[in-house]
Amino acid sequence: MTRIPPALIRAKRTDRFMTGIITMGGFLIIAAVLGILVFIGREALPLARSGKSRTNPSLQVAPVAGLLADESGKVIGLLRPDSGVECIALPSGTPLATLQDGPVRPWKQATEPSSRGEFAVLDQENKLFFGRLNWEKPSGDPDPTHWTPTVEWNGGMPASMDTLLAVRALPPSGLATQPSYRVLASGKDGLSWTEWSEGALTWKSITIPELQDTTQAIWSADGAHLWAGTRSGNLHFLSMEGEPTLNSSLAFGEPVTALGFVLGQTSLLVGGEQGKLLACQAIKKEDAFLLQWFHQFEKLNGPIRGFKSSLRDKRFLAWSPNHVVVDHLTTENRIFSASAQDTRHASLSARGEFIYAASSTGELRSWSMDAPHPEISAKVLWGKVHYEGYEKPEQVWQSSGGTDDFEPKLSLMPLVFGTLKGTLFAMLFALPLALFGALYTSQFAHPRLKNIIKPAVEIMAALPSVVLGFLAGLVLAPLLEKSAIHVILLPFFALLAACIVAPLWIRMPKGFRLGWGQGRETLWLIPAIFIGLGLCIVLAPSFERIFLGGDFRAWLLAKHSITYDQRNAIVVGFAMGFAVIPIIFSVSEDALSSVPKALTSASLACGASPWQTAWRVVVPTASPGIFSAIMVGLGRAIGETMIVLMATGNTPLMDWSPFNGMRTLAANIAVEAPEAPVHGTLYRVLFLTALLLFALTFLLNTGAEVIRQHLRKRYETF
Amino acid sequence: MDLNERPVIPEPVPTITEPPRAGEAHILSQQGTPLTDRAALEAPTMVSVKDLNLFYGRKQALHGINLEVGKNTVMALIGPSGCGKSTLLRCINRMNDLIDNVRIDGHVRVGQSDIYAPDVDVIGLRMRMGMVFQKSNPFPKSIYENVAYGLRVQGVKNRAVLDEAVERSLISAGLWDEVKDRLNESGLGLSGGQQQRLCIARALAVKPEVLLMDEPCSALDPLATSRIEELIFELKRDFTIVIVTHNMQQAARVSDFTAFFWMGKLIEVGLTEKLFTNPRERMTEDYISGRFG
Ligand SMILES: Nc1ncnc2c1ncn2[C@@H]1O[C@H](COP(=O)(O)OP(=O)(O)OP(=O)(O)O)[C@@H](O)[C@H]1O
Ligand SMILES: [Mg+2]
Repeated sequence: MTRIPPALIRAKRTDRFMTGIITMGGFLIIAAVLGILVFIGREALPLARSGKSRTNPSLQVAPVAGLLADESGKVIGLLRPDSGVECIALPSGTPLATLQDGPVRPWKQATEPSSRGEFAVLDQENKLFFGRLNWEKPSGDPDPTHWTPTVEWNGGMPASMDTLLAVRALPPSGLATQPSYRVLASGKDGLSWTEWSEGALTWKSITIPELQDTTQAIWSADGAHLWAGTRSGNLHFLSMEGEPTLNSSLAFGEPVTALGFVLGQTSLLVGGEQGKLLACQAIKKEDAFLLQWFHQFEKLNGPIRGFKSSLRDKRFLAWSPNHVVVDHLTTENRIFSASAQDTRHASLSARGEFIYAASSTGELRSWSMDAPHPEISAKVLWGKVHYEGYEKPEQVWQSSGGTDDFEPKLSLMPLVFGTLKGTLFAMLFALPLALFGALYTSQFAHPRLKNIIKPAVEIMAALPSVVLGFLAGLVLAPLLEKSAIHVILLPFFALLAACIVAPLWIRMPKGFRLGWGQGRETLWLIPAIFIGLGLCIVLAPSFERIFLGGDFRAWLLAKHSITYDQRNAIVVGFAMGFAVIPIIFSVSEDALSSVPKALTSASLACGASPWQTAWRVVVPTASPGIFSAIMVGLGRAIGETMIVLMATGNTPLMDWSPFNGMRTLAANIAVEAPEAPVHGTLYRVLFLTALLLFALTFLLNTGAEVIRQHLRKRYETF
Repeated sequence: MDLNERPVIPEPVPTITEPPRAGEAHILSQQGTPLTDRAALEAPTMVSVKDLNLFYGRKQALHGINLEVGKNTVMALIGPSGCGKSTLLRCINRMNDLIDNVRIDGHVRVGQSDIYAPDVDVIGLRMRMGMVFQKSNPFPKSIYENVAYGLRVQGVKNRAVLDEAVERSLISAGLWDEVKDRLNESGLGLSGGQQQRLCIARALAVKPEVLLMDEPCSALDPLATSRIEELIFELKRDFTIVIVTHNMQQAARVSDFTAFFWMGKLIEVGLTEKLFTNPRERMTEDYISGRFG
């Protein structure tokens, strides 16, 4: 046996060692990327989880006329006509207090308390009281036994009526300290309504024939309108300022048995005798109201008896004598559903975590529900959704608003659209410049010129995108606004000038032309561009005056109803194009320059002109490299954040107009992330957009790689 | 097949009848020996190089070259590596223009025109010439498009014309039988020898007046080499050929005239048979016999 020389053993050992390190490094990178992916995915995943619910043990209480769970869901107020407002702690059922002041018991009637704790009572002496249940919680004390319930009573004036149909408390106006109330009741002589703030009630009767068989009614939030549902299956919308007038009506299809508002008090829920459940809204159009059914929900078993809305989002509780459900208005999803025999009253805690239902015999059933993101569904993210206040289903991104009851609108389409639009405009600007620049530099330019151009362009890449964004947003955008018409006209005028210069060039003596050498004739285009610019400056104002009525922006708005945003897609195209050009240029220039000299020589020796050589041989051979250059540029444009953030208005519009701004996925994350509460819906949706961005670039790169391999196989040289 | 059986000079006529014309006169008078190939001697001049000096930057690569190539003859350029053979070849179709810092003085005439005149159309000039490179360099295109390239850049679009030219060129390059069924496959899928013949076909497609070949067989096996030599033999009927080679036997087999270069200087040029059997210069003899130092 021959001895292996020690040097060889050493070499082999080093080899194995290095192979190990390199493999490990590769795996670590893959693991890191996967780790990030898994982390992002984990943050976004709960969005897709459907709600979970659990049945809690039920309690036995006395029969009630209404239920009202506290915000925490740990205490509940029971309206008991014979003993007042009884409060108990949950889930133990420990009695806390019974409030017996106010109206004389036993009450003749009590309305179902609203989600805010407001209700009305007609007492034994036919006096009308308005109550409001409140919990005083010593600051931060989580123990419900330390909380004190109070009912703030108002009113107490005599009233004669058969049925109390609707009560609405209006916040104190002017100097008043007390709220005022609007009441609708039915009696022997039909419907009548009144507004109470002080003193006695003056009833005014409503004599509208359509309202004869009104079963349910509800006041709008400001008390200016009244919704009424009838036994004949219609929904009427009345204006109550001055003389009551019928505004418009909608057919519901079955006797209306319940009406209720969703959070925000604009979307009206209508429940019918056969369990039909629809949502309706009135949109003000000019002076009239447009009434429309805009959401439809799965039917309930049995006639719907009432609604309670969450005080946090657009979910609501609806119940019938044997069915209790929680639905979400916008997604139309049923988050919770339970059959419960003989249900009379029900309540939803403000955050929607607890559901209580009381039977006629006083059995109090309860469920807990965990549905952290009911407002998200595939349709909300990707499809068109009919939001409250919108005339038709739309794709909207609007994550925050001024009021507490604002509903976030989280459609990703405007962001994806914005990303694509920004990328498109950047590419429109960058691709021709970068690719033709690379072709010129690699194939035609004098080597000395090439040695200047290439590093100069590459230095462009070193410019931080914040600076680019800043320049674009604060310098370029106002400039462009002032001279938009010039910018639009310049290419045409420059082309015109070039068309004038080119024939002149051909007519020059041959010796002169050859003297300028190959690749330098391009310099003659510089004066052409300047001539174009001059023409532009001289002619653009008159052009604007003659054809566009003096003001380009006004013309756009009037003729095409396009608004001109100062920070628009053109600005982004320039700025982002500027950021992308160096990448595309330098990668494709490398690809073009590395086409073997033998091929160009062969082509030239065949009698091809330099341009033919470049176009027929060099470009196809370099196409895999050019393709990767484009893809790298695309990837950069899609992920670019700072420039779009600063150079667009970040308006999530879906409009291809070059004069509008946009909001991209990346910029959106930058804008919204600081304001998104951790683990909230917005937070998770932002992670979802990050995932989307990741997927987009991943797909792009994979696709690009596949195509590139294909091209490479096709144009492989040697 | 035995390569040595093939006649090197097609028409061995061992007499000289009339004084040769201008170009050869100088050489022949110096040689003072009878010429063997009358047809070759009588050929009108196709390429003539006069007092050509070429500088790469400050370095002179060619020193006062004078050379004439007759129409439909084969001129072999031989000499040690780096002596300027390729440089001279590139001067004939102005491929040196592509190299920076090249300075040329002197005259090169192809046919009737001085190709370094200021108003000469370089592209038109190159269309009249075919060039085959030392290393095969087919385009990453189909076999068909490779051959049709020269015509396509001239703007020929007529399919029939292209088809005819492709078939004719591939036949004369001896490649037709091997590729006629796969014209649309990539030219890069061919073997090295086939690729070189493809490049020759590409050069022939435009019917050039002059064919310049720079060591066309350097990367080929003996069989492929012999096929290309056969081909050169046939091509001689229609084309004027200048071929650079390091292979003395090849030069002896295919060429009518041979020029021996050394350090950028033309040492000796003459009828191939004469130059190989009875060189005038000592240096030539040393080089041919392999004693060159
Ligand atoms: N592009 C160039 N730039 C500078 N010098 C060059 C260039 N090409 C060739 N030379 C020089 O010119 C001289 C002649 O080169 P050339 O390529 O003509 O030699 P050759 O005879 O073809 O050699 P070989 O047989 O090895 O191909 C060499 O000394 C070489 O170094
Ligand atoms: Mg050479």
